[in-house]
Amino acid sequence: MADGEASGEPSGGAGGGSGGAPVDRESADVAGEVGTVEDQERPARLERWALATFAVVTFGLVLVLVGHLHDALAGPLSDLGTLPGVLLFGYLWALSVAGVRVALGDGGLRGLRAAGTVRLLGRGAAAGAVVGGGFVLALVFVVLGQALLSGQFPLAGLLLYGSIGTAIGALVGSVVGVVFAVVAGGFSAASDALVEQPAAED
Amino acid sequence: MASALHLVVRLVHVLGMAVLLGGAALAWDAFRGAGDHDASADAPDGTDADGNDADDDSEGAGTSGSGALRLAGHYEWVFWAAMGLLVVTGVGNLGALGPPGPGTPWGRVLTVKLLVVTAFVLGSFIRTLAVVDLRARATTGPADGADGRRFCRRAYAATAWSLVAVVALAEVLAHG
Repeated sequence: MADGEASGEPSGGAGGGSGGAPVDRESADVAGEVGTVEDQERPARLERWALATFAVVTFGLVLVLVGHLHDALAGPLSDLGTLPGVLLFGYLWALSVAGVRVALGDGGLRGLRAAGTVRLLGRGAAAGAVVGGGFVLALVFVVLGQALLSGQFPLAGLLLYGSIGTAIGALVGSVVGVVFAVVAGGFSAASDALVEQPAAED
Repeated sequence: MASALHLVVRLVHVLGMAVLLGGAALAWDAFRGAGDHDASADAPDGTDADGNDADDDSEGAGTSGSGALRLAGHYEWVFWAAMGLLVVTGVGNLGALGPPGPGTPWGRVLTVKLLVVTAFVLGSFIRTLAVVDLRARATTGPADGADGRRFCRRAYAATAWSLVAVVALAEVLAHG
């Protein structure tokens, strides 16, 4: 098919529109897409899903790499166990999805970049704080559950240490969030440059 | 119970990689089939300049640019889901087998694999953002251009070959 279209004449309504123009229904249909709000929302949802998973996957890989290089993986991995480890990762993943949803809003990465560096970093810090704080808070609830099952009720201690731990988790998370905001902003600019600049022929 | 769990973990790990590699090869092939075909040259009734269905690749002539882009969009969803599963099951495998010291030959291969996978994830995120951008343009305006399809073709080729390298490293770790 690719060869056959070389001689085809472009239809009048399909060429020359800019990204900022209103929805060109005809050319959207020609491209095999129906330009409904649902269709336009799909790329934004993919961006949120990819960014959330990218963040949690990269974070996990860096932790494992650093742990491996310092020969400090064996203890934590055997202490944690397979099933709790999978559950913990799944929870972190879910938190990351929620955090990115809050951070990106409706404008996506490009919108955040356009809004300025301070806004991009601020949203990253906020999302990271939600993830970090939420992660530690879940651990506090796990400890509370274990204590209740063993017949103890250490409410005062849990409130104190839980609050401090959640605050530290939120602080660390916000730093990690800023790092990922910088990375995501830079990669978004890089992808813009790669797609928009004409590439040399194969 | 523990060995059954580890078997499931390994199964998910292997299947995840199969999905990633197979999907990347499929997307690469779709963009190769699309070539520099301009979807805007298709008629509004969904047929191309030759009167064929614009998305019909049943004649062995390849997929249209919009069809390839749609396939890429679906693949990116699956890619990141599989990537998350691969990392968590990979760490599970490491815990089950016992992580090697970084100075041992096995440990050095693991270091290389972790570095390659991290670089691969970083590169893949750029590819996904480009696909998101092209998909957004296709739904709100004229179809994506030849430059976008050329980028996707190269990006999915690089993805497929990078995954082959990761599989080779995994094989060395498992049997080397």
